[in-house]
Amino acid sequence: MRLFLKGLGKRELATSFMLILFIILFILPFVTIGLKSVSVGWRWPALLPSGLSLDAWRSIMKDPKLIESLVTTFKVAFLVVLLNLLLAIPAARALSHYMFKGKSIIEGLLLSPILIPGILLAMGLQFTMIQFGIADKVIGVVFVHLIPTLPYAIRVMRAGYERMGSSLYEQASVLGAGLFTRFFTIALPLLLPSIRSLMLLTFVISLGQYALTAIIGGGTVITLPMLYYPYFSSSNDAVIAGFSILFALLPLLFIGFVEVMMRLVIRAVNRV
Amino acid sequence: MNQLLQCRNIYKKFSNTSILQNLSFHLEEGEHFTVVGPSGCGKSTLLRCLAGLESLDEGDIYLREKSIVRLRPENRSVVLMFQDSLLFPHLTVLENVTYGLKRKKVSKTERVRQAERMLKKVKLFKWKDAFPHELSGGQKQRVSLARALVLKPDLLLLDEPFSSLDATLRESLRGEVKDLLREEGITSLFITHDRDEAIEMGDRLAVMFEGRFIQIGHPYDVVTNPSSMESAKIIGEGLALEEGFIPISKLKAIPVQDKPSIQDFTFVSGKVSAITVKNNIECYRISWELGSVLAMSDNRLVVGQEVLLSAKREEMKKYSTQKDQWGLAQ
Amino acid sequence: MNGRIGLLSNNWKISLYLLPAFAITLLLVGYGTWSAVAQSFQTIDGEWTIATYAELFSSDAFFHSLKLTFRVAILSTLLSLVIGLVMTRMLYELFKVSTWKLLVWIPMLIPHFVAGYLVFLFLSQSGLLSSLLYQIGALENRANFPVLVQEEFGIGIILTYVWKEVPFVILMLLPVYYEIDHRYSEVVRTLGGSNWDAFKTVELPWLLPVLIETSVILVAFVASAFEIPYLLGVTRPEMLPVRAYEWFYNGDWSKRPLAFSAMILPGVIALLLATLSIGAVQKHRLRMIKGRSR
Repeated sequence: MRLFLKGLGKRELATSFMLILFIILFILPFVTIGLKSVSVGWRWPALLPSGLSLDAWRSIMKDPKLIESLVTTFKVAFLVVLLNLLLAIPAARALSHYMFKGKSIIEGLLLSPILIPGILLAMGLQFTMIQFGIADKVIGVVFVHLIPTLPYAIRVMRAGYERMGSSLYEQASVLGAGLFTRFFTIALPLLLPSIRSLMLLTFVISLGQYALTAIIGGGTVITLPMLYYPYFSSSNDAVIAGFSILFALLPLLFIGFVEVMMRLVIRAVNRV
Repeated sequence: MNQLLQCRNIYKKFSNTSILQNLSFHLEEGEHFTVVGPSGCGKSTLLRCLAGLESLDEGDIYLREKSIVRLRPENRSVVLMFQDSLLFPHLTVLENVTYGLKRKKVSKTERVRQAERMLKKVKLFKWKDAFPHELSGGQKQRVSLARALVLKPDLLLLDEPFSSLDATLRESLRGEVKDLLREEGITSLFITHDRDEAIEMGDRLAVMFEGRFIQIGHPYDVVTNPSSMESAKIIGEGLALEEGFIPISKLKAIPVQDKPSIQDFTFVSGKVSAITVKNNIECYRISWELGSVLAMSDNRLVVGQEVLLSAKREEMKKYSTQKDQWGLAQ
Repeated sequence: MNGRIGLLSNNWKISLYLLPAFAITLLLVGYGTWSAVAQSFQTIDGEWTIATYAELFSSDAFFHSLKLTFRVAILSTLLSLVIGLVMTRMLYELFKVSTWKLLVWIPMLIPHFVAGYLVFLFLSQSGLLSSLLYQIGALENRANFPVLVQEEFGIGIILTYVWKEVPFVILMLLPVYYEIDHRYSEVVRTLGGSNWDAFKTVELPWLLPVLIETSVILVAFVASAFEIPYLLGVTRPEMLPVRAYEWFYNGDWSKRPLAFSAMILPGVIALLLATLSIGAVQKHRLRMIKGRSR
């Protein structure tokens, strides 16, 4: 029996080891760039910075281009998230709860942007979008950002609907809830984890687009990634680190805001 | 007869809740032993400990006089059959049955020969190339049994294997399984919460309550002569009272207005809550605030009628508190 | 499904639910693809020609780029899958607690190019790993540190993708791990199978569809993404998306058809790969779903 217990201990040991490895590999780098962004003179072969200062953050915050592009980035990302919600939720509901002719073809088409190179599509669309006058505008950029986001949005929501099942929905309708009441009182609270994932995922993907934004935005729609590349080749390490941290902070800020809003909505609709 | 399995003073805890408390018992070679008890009494945990899926906190298990507590599940000659058939969905029936033999490195021709023999025994030979999803619930469970029996384990553990099937199927399968176990000479430990099943499946019956066996014996003895009120409630067929037990055959339901005769003694007063038929005799379910029991009556009763449950004083069997031959009373 | 309760029949309702997403995707993908293919077969003056493809296929540089692109895509996908699978298998019990699961989301928060910066920060010749090795005396000079980023094989690119996709793989696999009925593993053990047998018979069949799906997504993504190779790649050979972007964007309009044809090929390869593997896994998946005994 002692041997058996030892075996159990071994398993726990392995789990802890793996967890620590995960934290070192995936979490520690964030701490490092955080530290880097407030450091001065951290050069090879020093393991720690020689001093701390907020200069990098000051110079980031003073850059007028940066503030402007921050606003643009938020505008684009917010619209992308909103459009994804509006398009993905009904589509996911249809795909998860109904069988119909041609379902697999429609499904295939909806998920196809995962497989077809986004750059190719953006390049293909660019000329037409210029003709229709939506290239070089925020709306055009939002539109192409749907290519890498919408398939994931549908996939996430679909999994959520499938987990929820349709019986609760039917129960609510038998109890006298209409389409919208049903959505806000049953689906929204139960799908909250999926909606949260959808918003975070699409926000992050939109935030990370360089090529698509550049092709359709044509240098007039300047989002943060447009500035990141020139910064990367510039010499100030602390500034790049600060800029990198900014990219991780934006989704957090966004999701925090969303969380508060959604809780308010749910509390409002589910009062006794 | 040889003792095949011995469990000595087994203890098992899950985060400070004791599941098995100082459990000791043995199994004879070739016998069929059933354990009956309410859900949560620890019977599933007992099986999992025997199979090696859980480790013991204290105590020892001997199989053929060798301690097996340190052995991993795959190295014990013990197979566990679960409530659900748990057939591997991507393997055919034949592949499922040969699975364990393959792990034992039995040659392919021999594997197939043995598996096919076993499939014939469970009358599923012509389904050998089918996939599990093509089978009915009872067929799945029979494949699962074949998968276990083909390994010729020293001990087969059955965890309520019929509970997910419908009533008629359950009854026909019981006989089939018991025949098969006898033919193959496999020792079995069967657990269930269904008293009929427990009585039918076992040569010997143990009543389990809160991690202990509170009574062990021949099924007839246990059913007609429970050793305590708990035991009577779990397995006894009749009225379980603090001071003793009255078998159903001696119990009579008498309408309130009819006075019981001098020898009769009233134990409980209650109401008829349902009417049923047992062994072609009309029976009444009599309910009162603490429970309910089936009883016969000389009168025709209707639902809702107030009745007295009566029997002769001497028909009440006092619970035996003396130690029985297994030294169980605690 | 033709029943009609309320205002709309089911078919109308389904159409209404699907139409917006369907229309937008058709516009983006259908029109985008058609327009891209058309432009790859046209000269800049609008004449139809296959000269672009002829030029592409006669160029060694193109094939070098193609090889590099798929080498990076396949290697980073395989590594991410293996590492992600091992981590999921060991940590899924832990990740049931949502606080721990947040850890997996953290690396998902940052864009790929920031991950590229991290790899640069830690693994370049003057990076932190090199500093550490110097400090403990394992390295005499930073020039002795192997060149891991901005070199021809694409090691830095692969590492960035692995770092970024391992959490993605974990998030894809976790729901499947929670779905697996782990009593099956116990059945395997009592039938005499080892831990490895349990993985092979119980977990792998459940995981296979998701593993294939994930690998298709990853290969297609890496083969067509621009951001990382633009940051961490070298000019020769260049990864195809970077080459295409430069042909498209830099000055000379006569190069534009090349940009299209250069991206169509990896697109077609990824699509073929996807159809083949998803087709192969479809039947298996159906049986798994039907066969759940509950």
